[in-house]
Amino acid sequence: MSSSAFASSGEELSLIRIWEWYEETEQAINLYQQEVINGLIFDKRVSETFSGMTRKEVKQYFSAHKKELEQVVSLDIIAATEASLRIDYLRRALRGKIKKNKIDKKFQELYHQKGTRVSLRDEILETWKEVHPNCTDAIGDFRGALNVRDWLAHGRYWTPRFGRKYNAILVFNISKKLFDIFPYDFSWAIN
Amino acid sequence: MNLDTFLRQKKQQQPPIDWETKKQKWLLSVNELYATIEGWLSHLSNEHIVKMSYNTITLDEYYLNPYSVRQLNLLVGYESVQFEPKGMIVVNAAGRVDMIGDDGTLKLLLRSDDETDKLQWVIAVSTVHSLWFPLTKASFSEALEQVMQKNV
Repeated sequence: MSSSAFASSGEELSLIRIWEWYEETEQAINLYQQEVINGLIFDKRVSETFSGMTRKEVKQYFSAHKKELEQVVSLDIIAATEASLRIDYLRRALRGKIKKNKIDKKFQELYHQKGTRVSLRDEILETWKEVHPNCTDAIGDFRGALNVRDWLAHGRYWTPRFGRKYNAILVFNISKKLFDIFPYDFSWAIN
Repeated sequence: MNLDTFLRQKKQQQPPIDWETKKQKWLLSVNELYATIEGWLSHLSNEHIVKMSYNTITLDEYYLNPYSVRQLNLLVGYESVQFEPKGMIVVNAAGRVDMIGDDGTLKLLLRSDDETDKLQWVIAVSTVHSLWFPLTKASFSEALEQVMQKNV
């Protein structure tokens, strides 16, 4: 197969793009909160959704919104990281006759067995660990973040025991560290 | 800009608010609310069907010093309904008193009438759908039914 055998949707997002969207959206929420608080102080009518709320309740309302945004962004970051790892896997596996390194060869073998139905946790990440043992810690951290992804993606119906407190910036740093430590150019996944 | 100038400018930019006058109006409105409710229930109180009592609570509304306000407690047998003032600095209203029963809570909002601009108490059924009713004896009765236990 040639390198053109796999074409991504082009809709995948880079880490920085997601982060910029997160910051802009959080800023918009903060501005809206300020508008409502100003309405409360200066007796200006705002959306009836907030009618009767005290300052503390307005703060709690927007705090919940920001927490929710952070969860959605965390999911988006982990999902985008998975997409980049899978795209990288497919590109390497379908590289054709271009000179191959060890991980390309491993992914090609894997692709012959599993094709696109390869497991991120047990196969792609394990292969990276096997070929580049210096990435083990970063991969371990990302595996932890995958548990957060599973919990969020499945509707949060069970009480999670993550072992550490995840938030959007931690998830972002875990993903970025993974791409930074790989000995190949992953700037396309970051920027 | 140095710290002093920055903070002085901040303060100057803000229009002054007479919190004390607002507070007096709010406390007066709360007392009027209680007097109205007492009026509606006086004959039942005389018959010992309901018992009304007051206690004092302290409100801390962030922009002014903490102050005391009365809370009305309505006792019907073993079941109580509290009228708990939540504050005068609330969104789209000049004050709020929560009507707290065993089976729910309703908000009483002090809102200015769109036509007359006069303050009046309304029962907020759903703020999301802008659904509220002026507080009358009939709407008060329905509100009590809603917040008190249904199976007794």
